[in-house]
Amino acid sequence: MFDQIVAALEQHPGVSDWTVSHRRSRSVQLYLIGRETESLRDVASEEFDVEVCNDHPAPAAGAAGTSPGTAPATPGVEGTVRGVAGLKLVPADAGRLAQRLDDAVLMAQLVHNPPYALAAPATYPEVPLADPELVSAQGAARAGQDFAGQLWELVEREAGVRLSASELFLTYSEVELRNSRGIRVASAGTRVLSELVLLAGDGGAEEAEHFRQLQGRRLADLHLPAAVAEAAQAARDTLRARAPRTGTGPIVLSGDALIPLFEAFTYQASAAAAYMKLARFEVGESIYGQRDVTGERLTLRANALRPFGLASHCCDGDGLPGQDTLLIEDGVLRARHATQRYAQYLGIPATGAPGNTEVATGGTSLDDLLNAADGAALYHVVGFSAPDVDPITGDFGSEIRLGYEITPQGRRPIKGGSVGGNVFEAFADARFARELLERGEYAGPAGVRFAALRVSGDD
Amino acid sequence: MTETGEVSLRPSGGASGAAARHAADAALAAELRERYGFLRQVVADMERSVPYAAALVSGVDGLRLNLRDGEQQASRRDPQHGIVLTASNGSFLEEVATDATDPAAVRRAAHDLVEGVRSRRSAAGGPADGGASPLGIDPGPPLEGDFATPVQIDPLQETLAQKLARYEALRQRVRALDRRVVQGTARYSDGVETKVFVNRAKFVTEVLHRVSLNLTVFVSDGQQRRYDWLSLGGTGGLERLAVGDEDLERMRDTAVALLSARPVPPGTYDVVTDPSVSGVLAHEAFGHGVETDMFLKDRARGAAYIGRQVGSEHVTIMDDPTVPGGYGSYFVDDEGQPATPTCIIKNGVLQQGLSDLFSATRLGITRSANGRRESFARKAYARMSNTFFAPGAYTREQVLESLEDGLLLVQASSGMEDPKGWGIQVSTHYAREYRGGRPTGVVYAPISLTGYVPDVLHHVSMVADDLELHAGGCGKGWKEYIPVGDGGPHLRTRVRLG
Repeated sequence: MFDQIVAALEQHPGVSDWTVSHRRSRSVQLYLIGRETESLRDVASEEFDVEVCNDHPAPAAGAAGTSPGTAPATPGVEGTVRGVAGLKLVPADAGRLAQRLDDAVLMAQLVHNPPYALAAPATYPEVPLADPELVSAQGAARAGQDFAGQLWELVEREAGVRLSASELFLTYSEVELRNSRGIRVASAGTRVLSELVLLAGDGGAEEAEHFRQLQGRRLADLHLPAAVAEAAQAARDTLRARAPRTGTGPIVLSGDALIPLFEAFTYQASAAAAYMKLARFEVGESIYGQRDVTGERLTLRANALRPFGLASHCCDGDGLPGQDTLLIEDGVLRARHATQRYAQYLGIPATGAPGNTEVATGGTSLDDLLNAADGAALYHVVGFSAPDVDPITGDFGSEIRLGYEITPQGRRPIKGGSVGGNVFEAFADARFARELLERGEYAGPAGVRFAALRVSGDD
Repeated sequence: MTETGEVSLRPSGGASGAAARHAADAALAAELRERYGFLRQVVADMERSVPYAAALVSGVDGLRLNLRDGEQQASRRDPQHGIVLTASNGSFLEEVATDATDPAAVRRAAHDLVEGVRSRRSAAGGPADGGASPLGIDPGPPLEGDFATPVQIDPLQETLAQKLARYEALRQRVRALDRRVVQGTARYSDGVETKVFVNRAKFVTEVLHRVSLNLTVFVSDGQQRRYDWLSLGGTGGLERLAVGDEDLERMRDTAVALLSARPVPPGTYDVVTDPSVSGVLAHEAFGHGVETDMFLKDRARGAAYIGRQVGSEHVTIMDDPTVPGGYGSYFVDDEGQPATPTCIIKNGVLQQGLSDLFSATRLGITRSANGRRESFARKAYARMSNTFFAPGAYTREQVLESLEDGLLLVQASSGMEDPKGWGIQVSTHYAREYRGGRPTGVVYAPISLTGYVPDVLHHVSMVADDLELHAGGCGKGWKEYIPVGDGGPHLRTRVRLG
């Protein structure tokens, strides 16, 4: 079907340029409830992502479908605009390719964008993305059974804790991308996703749960023994957790509570944000604006080359090679990550899809960041219910799923209430842990201490 | 439209409007019956080896437009088309899902599934997972039927050019609302979802039409950027997406007011929730909290509270997939159960949960029509449809005028459940301060509502009569996204904000 699609695109008079990405996936899915299997599933799917470009004369200003900014942008193509249509095809479309393609061309003829050129062939880096154990269907099925056995054994070792439920998705995908400028590149990778729910009991009717989602390229990336031990402790702590107190003060965020905060910086460093006029800072400017910076300054990279990183790739969806890009250095925006299209719109280098978020670690141990020696209570939040970070305003707030109140007298677990603030303000007075945490698409400090965030809890 | 429910970019010919759509959907149902009639035999063949078998063919297709300054995107909405075959091995459900739906491929998949069940059974020396009790699945009463969403203004009768012109013009109106507007975006989507469900008692086809529109305005005072949005959606046609001038002006006024918003001082407040916030409260509090697959996993505290008071007498919460036009509406769930309303809480007393086939069978409870899948490639879980607080006896004005010193919470953006701990989080775009029953003009943003679910519901003291339903998406944990509706009237309660 791939060759048929390519041939049809090449022959269609309305197609100026094209990109096709073919993905074939196979997934083994295992669902457990306690020590029983709830469901076992085997899923196979195939799809083609087609992008069809049609260059056509710019419509008169004010004509239907025009918008400000669609004026020609490329020298030499005065009066020409580019229409782009996305067309996803599935095997059920096999008998109707010509009609599908006609529809896509019609779509592309009706939308008007500044012209841009597709990515050209390049040298692609070798980035390891696949767990060899999960490449075959039999290997994945066997790995799923082994995972269940190991999980049951690990949970059994934990006092006061039982397994409520778990899900495991083991997926192998092959992707091949071609475009009209001659790119032809293929890659293969595996992804592992597991959800783990542990229940802790006090021997009576009271129970508390801890939910954790684990993701990686390889089963080993889930670090199951450590994850179960941490989840078990978290479930036991949740059982005796109480609400925090209302106030404003120092807070350490770590692990899953911390990682989403960096998304606001990654978005603000994007060419898309700049093109949409939603970026807060320009290249060469401080990300803190006029604020005094009293903590450590942020250094952040977008790295698509990290071996087995969840967002790693040798080639992005446009056909650009994976790259490692320094976005923010010591609190100054150094570059924007830019797709092929936005890079040309802004006249900046194309870096491709951003890949993994890498943040420079700091100079203080996590233990020292958690020190409440000055006498005031310090909160350490390890999990939010649903971290909600607004990448445009920087505002964030979320319910505390689990944290700790640390005082010179000791540490007690907390849950409920919420932490709120603004990331662009908060990072102006922040200290980063020196321990490195690698989790999913993130590699960076295991924790960050913020001088002052708002806590809403018991009045 | 063809047998897979795909959408043409050209207008379909013939009669116009609702009647034409009705006729086209009837023809589509006939095509689906013709094409997938062989599934009766596939299911019967599977049931020679397993105690229960079923098949679900599902497909989604449609159009998406994404419009903003200097950029327009039109794309075919992610099409999905495939089949999932389900077999009980006597203890649990095994499934094969594939996008190959021709008879030979389906028969091969069915054979592989049954062989897999058989080999695992013999390897285990009996029913797979010998520890589990036998799973006796009831296929339900016989049902033969074809169902389709009524559509008044058919999106499929409009050309792409017409849609582009309409929504770009709307976006331009957003763009021109105020000199402080720096960006205006419009996102439109329409889609057709087709399903065929077959088990030994049922052969059902379903055609669902779903549309959505999101308009967002971004403003700047030179220092900061704020925004507000209008989100519309439902099952049906373009009649669900009507936008008036007053809607756009309200959006602009809110975005501009947010430029001077301040963070809410953390604390506990008397509040009135608008219908969107009421809806997310219902959804997170006693929507997820009564999904019976969570009962089976001991993840829902509500399991022990059936028949007990969990809120004030003003609280009645429903889940209803039959609401006309609801974004989460359907006729039959993905496991063949005909849609009916479920009263979750009546006058503060928890009545019953929302179930899927497996959990209802395991728990021995009456099934509700809530077995839903993200797609054929995903498992069915107990999921919500349209979940909402039932309307009360007060007017909206009476509820707001009762706020002596409190906040009106407006525009929910997301929420999170905690069925085991009964915690709740609702992220709200902003709040307006009220004193003496009147707005003071002070605006707070952003707002995180948190609390203990029974406390929030016990504090509900007034419920207005202005029920509204909103369109949304719902995940199970962090995945399995499906379209749902939620809503309610304005409610007065007391919550913790930060």
